[in-house]
Amino acid sequence: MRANYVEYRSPQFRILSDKQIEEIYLGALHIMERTGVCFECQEALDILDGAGADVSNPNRVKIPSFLVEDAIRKAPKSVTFYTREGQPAFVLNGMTGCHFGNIPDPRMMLDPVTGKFRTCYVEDIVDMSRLTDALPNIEWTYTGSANNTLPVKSNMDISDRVTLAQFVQNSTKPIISEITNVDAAIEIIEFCSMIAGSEENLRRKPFWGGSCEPVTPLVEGKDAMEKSLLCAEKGLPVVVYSMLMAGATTPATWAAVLAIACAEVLSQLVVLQLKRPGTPVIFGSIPNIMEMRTTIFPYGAPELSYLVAALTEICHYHKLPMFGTAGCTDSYSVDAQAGAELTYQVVLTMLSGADLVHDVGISAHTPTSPEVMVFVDEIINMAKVFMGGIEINDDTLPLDLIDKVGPKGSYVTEKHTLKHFRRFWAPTIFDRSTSRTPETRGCAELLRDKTINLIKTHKPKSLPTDIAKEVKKFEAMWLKRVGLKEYPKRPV
Amino acid sequence: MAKYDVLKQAVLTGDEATAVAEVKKALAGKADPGDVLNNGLIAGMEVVGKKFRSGEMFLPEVLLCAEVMHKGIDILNPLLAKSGRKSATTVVIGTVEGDIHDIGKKIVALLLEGNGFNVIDLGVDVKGEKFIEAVEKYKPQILGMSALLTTTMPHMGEIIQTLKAKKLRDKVKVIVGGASVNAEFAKSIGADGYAVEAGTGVELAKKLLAKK
Repeated sequence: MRANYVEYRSPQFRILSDKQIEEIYLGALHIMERTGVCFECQEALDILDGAGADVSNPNRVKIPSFLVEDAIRKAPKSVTFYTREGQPAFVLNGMTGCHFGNIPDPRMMLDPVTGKFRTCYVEDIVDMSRLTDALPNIEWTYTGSANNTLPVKSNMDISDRVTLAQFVQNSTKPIISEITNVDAAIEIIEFCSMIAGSEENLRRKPFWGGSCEPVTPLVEGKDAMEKSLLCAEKGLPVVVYSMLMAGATTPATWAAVLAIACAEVLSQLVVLQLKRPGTPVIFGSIPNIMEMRTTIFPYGAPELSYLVAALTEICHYHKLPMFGTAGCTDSYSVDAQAGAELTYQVVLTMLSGADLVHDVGISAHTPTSPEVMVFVDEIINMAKVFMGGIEINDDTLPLDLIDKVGPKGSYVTEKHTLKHFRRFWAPTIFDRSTSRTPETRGCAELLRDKTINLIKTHKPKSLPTDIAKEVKKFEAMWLKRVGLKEYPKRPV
Repeated sequence: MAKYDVLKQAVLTGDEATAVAEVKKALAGKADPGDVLNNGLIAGMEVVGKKFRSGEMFLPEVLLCAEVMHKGIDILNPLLAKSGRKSATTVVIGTVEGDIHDIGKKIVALLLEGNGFNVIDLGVDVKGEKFIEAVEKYKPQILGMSALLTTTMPHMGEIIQTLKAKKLRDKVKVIVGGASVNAEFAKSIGADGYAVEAGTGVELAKKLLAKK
């Protein structure tokens, strides 16, 4: 029996010291008190006014620190997501590691069959939903709000609802949705409540959460705030994140990006906790650089992962669940650049422990690639090898066995080896053959085949018949609004 | 050494002091202000533009060079106006109603100014009527519209229809951009062009005007 034994069960990784975290946090508080945050939603302004903020200039609402401290205190430190069927899926509390999610519905996708980029059809959303369901390391999905094949009529864009409907029919995994506006949010919540059995069921065991996006720098837009206020009103989880570009929408230095990210999300947190104390908020922004030669938001940039990791430390310091970003590449194919960028992101993210990690599958900094999703699933397994820690006991350090086998011995036939060797990681898409023959299949071919095969063969659990019927009714209603009888068909 | 080499180099390196001194020197030597503008300042910016397109120069450097160029133009402007020079091409630009995203639009506007365009930025969440009023008032050669949100994109089509109805459509080239926009959409609403990012937008503007 040991005494005073300290054991590391995971690698130790720190970017910021506690004092640095405090300094950045104080910087965010200073920004909120001195510079202020722009609020364009009247309800939010009224809430802030009532609580003691200075709303005399809505473009620069000054939020006193005590409101922020209060909001952090009230915000849940643990948010549980459930499956479509009400079973616990994962807990976000800084203690359970990373939970990776993908995007099943980009506007454009990298077709694994042709290797070319093309428009994503609703049938592709179905395929990618089933792929999500099949991949063990993809635990949830982030449905989007734009599809090139669905018309937008009189500000009515049904993409967010359509994607959600495809996903719930093809996977039981939890969902966060990007939502076009508050009217869509109302309808989406109604839809999800139908799936859960009631709004109360959905609130108690959410398989769905909303999301909203402050605009950097320091703007809480009307639509964004209305969406998150609705989630707060219903007691549903909401992800609040902005996308910051150092050198363009923030100063070009890391401490500044982090402080502004905190200010943007904390201002919303204040409003949401005042609206309904205990609103589950998943805090996270995507701090990044602006690529100064092409002006893109480079998803594969090492700075993105680095800053997300630092922001994760700030969130966890305050015991708030963090929305991470990983599994993205700027490359236009699944090549060496993709391999490098994806691995860098997954490793840094897992070391920092961001709770709800999104955007797995982004390629060419916007479209999605099913192969990237499968590739990332593999890389996560690779990274899990070093996340588990090294346990030291009589079995893992078998001194008697070492003595028995002795010098010049072999362990290949030992029962101890038989017992333990299966935990060596066995890649499914990396080539470790002893020599290359014309028949040897390399990573690119193995990846492509695995992706196509999973899409073709995976059978997710169906919705119960009565719920499936209701889903179809919702879909018919949305289609009618944009003048369609059915979804545009994917060309053969 | 060619006539304005030092001035061009000053623009290329973002050296305001030298650029201003060279412009003054040229004017003191009775140089034609239009010549200084076209063969000194704008010629310098064209090299900057080439280097930006090839990835040798970065956006903040380009914008610094543009600022230096404008300092030079400020000195020339009164003289150009006196001699009745044609004013620079005008661009009216804005983010459509319901949308408050503008970083891309801001960068396009800065780059257009850097290329000698006169830019009227209407801001964000701009109602259709305001775009039309601006076209009527400023008589721009280019109208640029930006949107990030899919729900706000239809406004672009509506604005183009209104331009047609008011018989203004053929007086202005329309370029659309923003994360939600693509070439197909631009074509479907009858825009003259679509730009995927700021640098491309500037090139497209120049191309469309050259066609006229």
